[in-house]
Amino acid sequence: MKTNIYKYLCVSIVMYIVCSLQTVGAQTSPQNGTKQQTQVADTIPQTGDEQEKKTKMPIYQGIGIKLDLGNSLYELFSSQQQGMSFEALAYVNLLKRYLPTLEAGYAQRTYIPANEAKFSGKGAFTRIGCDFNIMKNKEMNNMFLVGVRFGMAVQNYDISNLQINDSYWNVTQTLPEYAATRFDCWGEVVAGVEVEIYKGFNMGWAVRIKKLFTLPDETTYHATYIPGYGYNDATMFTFNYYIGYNF
Amino acid sequence: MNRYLSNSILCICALCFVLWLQACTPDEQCRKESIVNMEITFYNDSTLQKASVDSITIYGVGNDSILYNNQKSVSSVALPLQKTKNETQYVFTNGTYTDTLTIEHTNTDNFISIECGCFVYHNITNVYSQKTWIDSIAIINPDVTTTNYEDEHLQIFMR
Repeated sequence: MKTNIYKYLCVSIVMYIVCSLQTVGAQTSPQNGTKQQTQVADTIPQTGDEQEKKTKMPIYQGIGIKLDLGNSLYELFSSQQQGMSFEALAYVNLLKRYLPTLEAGYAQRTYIPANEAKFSGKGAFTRIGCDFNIMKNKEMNNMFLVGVRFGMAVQNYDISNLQINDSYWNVTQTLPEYAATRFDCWGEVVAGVEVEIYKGFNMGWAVRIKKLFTLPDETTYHATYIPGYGYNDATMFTFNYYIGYNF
Repeated sequence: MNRYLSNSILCICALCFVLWLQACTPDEQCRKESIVNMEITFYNDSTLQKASVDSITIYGVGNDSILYNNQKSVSSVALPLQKTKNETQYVFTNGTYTDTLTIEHTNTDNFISIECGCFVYHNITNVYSQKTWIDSIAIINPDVTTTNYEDEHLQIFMR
C-alpha cells in the first residue's frame, strides 16, 4: 500500500510539473488510468487491506489534477484587455469527502482603458485550501464541492502613458512610467461541481467569492489586476471551468 | 455510457453558462469627479461682509477662453489652477476696474485608478494682486482637491 502511495505521488508531481510547462488549452496526457482499487489488487496482495476495503473505505482515495479552461479562455478572448492565464490544481482525495487542494498558476494581463493609459502586469499565484464533497451518493465519482482557499500572488506591473490634461490651460503632460512589484493575499470561498465524463476524466466548474486581505497602498500607483484574484476590488466573483483527471 | 453522455451534456451546458456569465465583467469607467477648482468668495472691503460683485469678467492670463464673461451679481467663483505650473494668473475686470490675481501653488499627482488616471491636487502657498481693484486676499483653505470643491479657498476683499 505504501509503495503505491509513493508511486502515485511521484507520478502526480511529474504530471503537475508537465501541466505547469504547457500553455493554455493543452490537456495532460493520461496515465494508463485504471481505478485505484484494481491496481491495488494487481500488486502484492495484502489480504488484510482487501478485507478492510469491503468493510471500510481507505482514507487515501487518489489524486486528482485539473486544468482550468474557462478563466484561461476568457482571458485570451476578452476584448477589453489582452492577457493569458494558466491555472491548474491538484488535490488529494481523502475518504471521498475531504480534498486538500493546492492550486497554482501564472497570469499576464495588459489593460488599456479609454484614456489610453496602459497597465501591464504579470505574476504567479498560488492557492491552498480544502474542499468538502457534499454529495451524498459516494458510489459515483461525481462531486459537489464546497471549500475555502487562501490565495497569494506576486506580480510585476507597470503603468505607463498616464496623462494629465489641463483643458482650460491647454497643456497635456505625460507622466513617467511607473513600475513596481506587489504581493497580495486573499481568502476565497469556492463552490463547484465535478462530474465524471469518461473513465477517470472529469469536467467541472467552480464559482469563487474572493475577499482581498492586502490593502491598496494609497501612496503609490496601485495595480489594476491581481493574478489569480481578478480586478483589484475588495471583493471579486469569478468562475472557473475545469477538465481534470483522477488517478 | 448513457451516464457519461448525460454528464457530458450537462458539462457543456455549464461551460456555456460560465462563459456567458464571464461576460458580465465590472463596468470599469472613471466614476470620480475630476474637476478640481479653487473657490473664491467676494467680500466687501469696508464692511468685511460677504458681497456680490455687480458684474465681472475673469479669464486666465494668456488664455483666450473666458471663465466668467460679464457675469452679473457674482458672489463666488470657481477657477481652475494650472496643473503643470506652479503659478497661475487671472485677470479680474468689470470695465472700470482691472486687476491681476497671482496665485503661487504646489501641485501633487494623486493616482486614483487606471481609468481615471492621476488627479492633480493643489496647495496654495501665496496669493497677491496689483491692488487696483482687489484690496486684500485671505487664504482660508490652501488645499484644493476634488473632495471639497464646495468649500471656500480664498476670500477676496474688493474696494
